[in-house]
Amino acid sequence: MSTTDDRFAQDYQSLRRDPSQNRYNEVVTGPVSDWATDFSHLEPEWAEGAIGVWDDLRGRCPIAHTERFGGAWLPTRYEDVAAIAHDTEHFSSRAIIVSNFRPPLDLAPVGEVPPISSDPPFHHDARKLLLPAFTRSAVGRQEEATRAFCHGLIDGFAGRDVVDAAHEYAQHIPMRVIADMLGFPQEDGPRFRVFVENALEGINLPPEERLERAAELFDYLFAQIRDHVAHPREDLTSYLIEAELYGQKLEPIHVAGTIALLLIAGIDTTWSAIGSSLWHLAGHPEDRRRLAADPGLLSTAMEEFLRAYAPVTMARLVKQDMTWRGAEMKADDWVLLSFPAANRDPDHVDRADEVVIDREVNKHAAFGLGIHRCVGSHLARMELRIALEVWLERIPEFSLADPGGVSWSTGQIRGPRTLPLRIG
Amino acid sequence: MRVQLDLVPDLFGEDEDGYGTVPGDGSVPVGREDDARRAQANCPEDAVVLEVSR
Repeated sequence: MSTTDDRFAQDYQSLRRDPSQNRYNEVVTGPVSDWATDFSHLEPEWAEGAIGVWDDLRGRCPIAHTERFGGAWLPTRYEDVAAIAHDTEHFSSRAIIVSNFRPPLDLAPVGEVPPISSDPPFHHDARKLLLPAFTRSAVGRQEEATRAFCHGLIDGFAGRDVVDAAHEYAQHIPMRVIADMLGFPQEDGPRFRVFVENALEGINLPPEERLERAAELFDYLFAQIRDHVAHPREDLTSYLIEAELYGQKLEPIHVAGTIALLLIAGIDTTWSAIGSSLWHLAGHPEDRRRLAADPGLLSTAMEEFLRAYAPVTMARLVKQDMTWRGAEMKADDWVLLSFPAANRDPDHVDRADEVVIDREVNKHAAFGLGIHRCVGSHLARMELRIALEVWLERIPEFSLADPGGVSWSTGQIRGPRTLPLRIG
Repeated sequence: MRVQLDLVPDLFGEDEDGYGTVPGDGSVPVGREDDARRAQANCPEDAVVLEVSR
């Protein structure tokens, strides 16, 4: 007989960190004066033209700086991004989304959303807990349901000439897959979207509002967790509730933090990758026709879309004042690890600015590098592959209905948020 | 590191944590040499090492 699990009996508010421990800086918004000295990934110019910004900076800088966010750096060469991603001695993952406050030092090595926010040695053990759920074979079990779901979305387009592929297709696929894996209600998709936007795009909101919105996510997660404690199931939430580390069940805040990570990271990233791939194909009829005619090309094409339109940039915090490859970095400065910029570095990739859908050698960093490399890469690849396969099979002819009406996200996850496509 | 198993299916195995494994004694099956080279050329962490035996 097991005793009652009362770890989640308290509400999140009572477990939450005292916000006065954070170190806050002034929120600076408005147009960028010079991308090398005043960059911001939260302004509309970035959403429209990030690729051009990286190419420009790589040629002249190559590590940009900004006083915004209390001080942040943006390396743009593959070599620099890779070096920082592999260097956990000088760079911490205590927080991985640039914001206008830093959590206290003693939050390391666990962080708020382990294991992405964890540093060694804790990171290794927290990550290991998740691995079995994301193996290629585990992910393969989601494939048929994902395919059926994609078909269902396209069935819903019957009779329409124009659809928003970002809103009505791309975003729903990872939401459904992660809801099923976590055992959350499928109809909560619209709430997930709000949680994702709050976590990743609401960076320049007043900090107290940001913290309030994060609390709403955790209140929701605690309610779901309690429901799983009362009614255990064969899903990832029940697995994490029962999981043990160092002979003990996880701290309640660790369980909720990891679930928050899986929910947020599982949705926005893949949604963006599917959207960018469809955007590319809609605007490049020669690639679209080739791929529709020869689905065998999808494995290389997909990797090329991941390289050229990598959705994810992760952040680190500088541990101590230091000069790093000429940059005078201060303790607690942010560093944006722009995997998308690294993937377009001509010193790393031939024809870096071209999308070559049959590229044979493609050492891209879309899933990150080093110990924090994406734990869900097999899942993301499965979703992207199925989403594109089903779309191309059902809608081989499509184009941009309104090129000016396409909008891209700001912040660390890059992808189309409005994508009107002509399908009929 | 995890290898990109989709690129060259069945050339690598997978352990319970999803890390790539090399089946048997690690010899590349006859006829799969190009796939092995592709895996090596595409590994972002350079974790795939090929040795040529004579």
